Amino acid sequence: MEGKALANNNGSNYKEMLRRVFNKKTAPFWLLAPTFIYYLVFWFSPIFISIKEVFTTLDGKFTVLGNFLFLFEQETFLPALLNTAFFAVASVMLQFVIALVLAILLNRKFKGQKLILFLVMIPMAITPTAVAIVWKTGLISSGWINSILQSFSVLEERIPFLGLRGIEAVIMIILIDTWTVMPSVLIILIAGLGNINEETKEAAYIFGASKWRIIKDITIPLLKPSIITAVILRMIAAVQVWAVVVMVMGFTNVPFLVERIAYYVGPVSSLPYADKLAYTYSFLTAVIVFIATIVYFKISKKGTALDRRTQK
Amino acid sequence: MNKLNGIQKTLIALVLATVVIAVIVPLMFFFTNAFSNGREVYDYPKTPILSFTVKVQVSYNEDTGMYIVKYYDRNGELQNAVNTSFGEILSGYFEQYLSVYRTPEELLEQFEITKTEGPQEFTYGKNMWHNFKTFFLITSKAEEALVNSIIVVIFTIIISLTLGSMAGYAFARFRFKGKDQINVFMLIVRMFPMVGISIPLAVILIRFNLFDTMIGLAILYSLPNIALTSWITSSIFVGINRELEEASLVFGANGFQTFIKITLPLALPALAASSMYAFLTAWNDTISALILTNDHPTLALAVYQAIGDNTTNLQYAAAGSIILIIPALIFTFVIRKYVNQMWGGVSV
Amino acid sequence: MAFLELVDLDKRYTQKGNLIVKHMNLSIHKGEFLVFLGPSGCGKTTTIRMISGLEEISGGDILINGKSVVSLPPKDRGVSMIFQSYAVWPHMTVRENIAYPLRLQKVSKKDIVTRVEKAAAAANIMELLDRYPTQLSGGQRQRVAVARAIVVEPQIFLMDEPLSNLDAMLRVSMRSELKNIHESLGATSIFVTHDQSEAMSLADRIVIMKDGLIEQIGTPKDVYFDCESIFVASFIGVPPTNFFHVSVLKDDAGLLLKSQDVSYRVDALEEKMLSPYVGKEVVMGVRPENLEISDTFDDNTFLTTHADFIEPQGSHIIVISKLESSVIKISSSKLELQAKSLIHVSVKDRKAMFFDKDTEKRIRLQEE
Repeated sequence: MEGKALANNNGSNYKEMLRRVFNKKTAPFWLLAPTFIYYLVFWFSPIFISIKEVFTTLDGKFTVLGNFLFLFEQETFLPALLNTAFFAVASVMLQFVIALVLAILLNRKFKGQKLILFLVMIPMAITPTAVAIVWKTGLISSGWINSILQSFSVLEERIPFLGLRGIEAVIMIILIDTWTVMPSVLIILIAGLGNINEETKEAAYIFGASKWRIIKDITIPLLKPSIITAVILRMIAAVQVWAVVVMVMGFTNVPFLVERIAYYVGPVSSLPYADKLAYTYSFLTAVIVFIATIVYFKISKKGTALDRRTQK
Repeated sequence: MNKLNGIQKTLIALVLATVVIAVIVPLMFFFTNAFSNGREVYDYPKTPILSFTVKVQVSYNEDTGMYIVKYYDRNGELQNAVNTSFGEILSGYFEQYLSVYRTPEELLEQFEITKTEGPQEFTYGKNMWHNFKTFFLITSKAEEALVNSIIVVIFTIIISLTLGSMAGYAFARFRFKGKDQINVFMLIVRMFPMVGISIPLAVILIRFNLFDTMIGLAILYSLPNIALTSWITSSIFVGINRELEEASLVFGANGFQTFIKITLPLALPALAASSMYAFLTAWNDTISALILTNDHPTLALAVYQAIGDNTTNLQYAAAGSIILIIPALIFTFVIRKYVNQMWGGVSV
Repeated sequence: MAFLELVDLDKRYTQKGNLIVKHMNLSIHKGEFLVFLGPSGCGKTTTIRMISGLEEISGGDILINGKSVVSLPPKDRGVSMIFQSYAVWPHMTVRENIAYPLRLQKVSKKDIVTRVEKAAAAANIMELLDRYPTQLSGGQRQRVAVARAIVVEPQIFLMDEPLSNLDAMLRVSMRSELKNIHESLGATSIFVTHDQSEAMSLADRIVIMKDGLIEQIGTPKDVYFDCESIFVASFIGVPPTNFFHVSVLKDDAGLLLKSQDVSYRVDALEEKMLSPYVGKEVVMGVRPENLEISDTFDDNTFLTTHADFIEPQGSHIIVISKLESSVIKISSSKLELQAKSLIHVSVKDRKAMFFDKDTEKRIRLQEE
């Protein structure tokens, strides 16, 4: 294709050769080749290194479970795993429910609808690091959350939010996370709603469906591809939560899987086994994300396949 | 069918109002915080309204020969500030804690009157950019980090859009063996946690001499974004009528020219959306930057490192965050309308 | 008594917006097949959406069986509807689509099965019942929409341009099927279209609308040969009516209509009608097939011109001729006529329509 200019200068033999190399049959190959090489070098080989590291000991001997057993022995491992699991499930569910309600409410036209949509979308554009600061200024004991609670006389004592640990801390982080990422779920659902043919809803209405039944029987089933997209994207991101956790709560106080990785490559990276643990945690996180995605796909495959066909 | 009764309307209004308040209130407090001086930060209870001035009360102690400076907090109560007879200390305190920029001579001259007239009140305008200046002062390499972030964003967008749109075009326009398998593979790449790749990638980048460089970081950020771009663009390319391209070919363009002149411009919304995701990946990330750089942080990383897990002097962190947010806000809202179009047309 | 009645019906979309439908009055009889015909934006779809209850009315009343239904939701109006996009629910099988309205009415499971099959048989889609809409062609989806609409046994059957998304062949066959279904159900049908041949072939009566106003209500024959306004005369018929701006002159022999191109001697009946217009201009409309070509000039000759173009149509020809101020089209059976030849044209059997130049309405004989 890009050889045309060259070909003019170098005679017909060259032209013929180029035509043999660049034609309709080989075009997809040439178009995909750069991506393929890129992934080979920067995706496959790191994964290969990672697998090698996970299955060798510190002194280079092969081991199947050695590193995993060492990981499981870490005091923070189990809490990290449980916190991450709880966080992923609960935050995605909460965000999905809020976004769905908002999407349905904001899908009708009314005065100020655009403005509300704009306002609700703002947190999406805020960098996670900044989100952590927004909430940290609220959560410190002289922060704005205690200020608000006090000014409405909800409580006498200041709550030491940053001192919370365990499940309470995870719930707090879920709320912060929801504030940030709910808009990204909303944007997908609203776009999906916009794609639903108004007449399909009107038809149900003519035949006597109530507003609630239209939502339940027509809107939500037709919204399924958007719902799947939103939930998968959110789940993947949720498993990888860490920045907000560390910046609000500090390292180790509320362990999460990726928070652990950051911990081992950050503050304690000089420890001899830190790298091994980081590798093993990454491997584990990747496997979990991968399995969760596959499972979710399998569950919802019917819906997705159907929707491929319904795309206008 | 769109009529609602009064109760439903009220309920909806309530829900929407709650959500809007929940979004806006934290931002208002945060914004106020970023412009607070070193004393207002510790006011309690806090108000979400910016202040532009500081009111101080100065009295003179004849026994010690010192000025006793007190300031009014946001709730109107007097708080102790500093006792000193030195202009330098006064000026330093005013700058550091009250965000008021005055020379020692100026302050001493103004306070002179309290020696004869007794305690006096003074009102000063705050330097609203004090926190931002201080952020750049206390954060090592903040300026460099800002430049680094911009560079890494540009690299990421270039790599992802070039490779991704080529792949997307191949998926949209050609039938070939293994297409489905490659598609699934791209999906896996997109889903794969970036941290999982970052640590081993460091080994490879060192081998290529790309460790601690912005290209090295962009290489990582492009991994998911090439796949994402290919997915977004292919769905748009499919929707572009082939006849538009064929017409171009008939009128004498070659395949490459047609792609550049006809197909790409038509796919502009898709490219805009893809570039937004590339931007956000590169701009927002901290953990991979932490792993893949040593001396050349990105802005998000610099902010993160400056703040760490401090709970004091949050006003500087807030100022740094605003610097971090503004480009992302602009970029997102400029491109948002394209993204809206995007999500509708495609599914995973 | 009329079965469905629209009384002074108004529609505006915003508080201060223009009226989309203006003071519409219409009576529809039971079992009638009524077609709303008009250019896009004339308010025809808005009108049936108001009848269905999908659209609020801004003024007036809608009566079914003598009772006002404006406060009722669609489901209580006994209507059913076929949409332009068919609105077949893509996530339900054909069977589920047809059954859904019955499920909403809490019809027993057993009855649903029999009624669905009956409707599917009527719409000729028995073998498609377990497929998804996305596996169907446009025509098949259309049939699903029909089956779903008839399964509820509606009193009023509303169709909003249901054939406009089909290809030409299918459109013709579907429209005769719709007519059959209408007749076998005995329901009252209201059909919206902008396609006049569809309207002509389906309707018992046609309602021609323009800018939210009814221009004419009448049988297909009426709206073709007995137009109420210039708009109807020009909108209906291919090729459309020829119009001539003529002055009404009085001479010894009676009234004479004259323009640069034409001259027309008025007979007694027409004279009665046109006498108020002496000295003024009127618009004269003659359908292409009511103009007759002869080789010789005589008293009846309306105008003399050249046959500039001839378009053969098989059984007849269309003669196109440029006059000083307009172009006329004549439908003629003189297949042997040569282009460029001189022709003398007369009006057949006094089948000319006269319109007031200002109101654009038909000039009728005033009843004494």
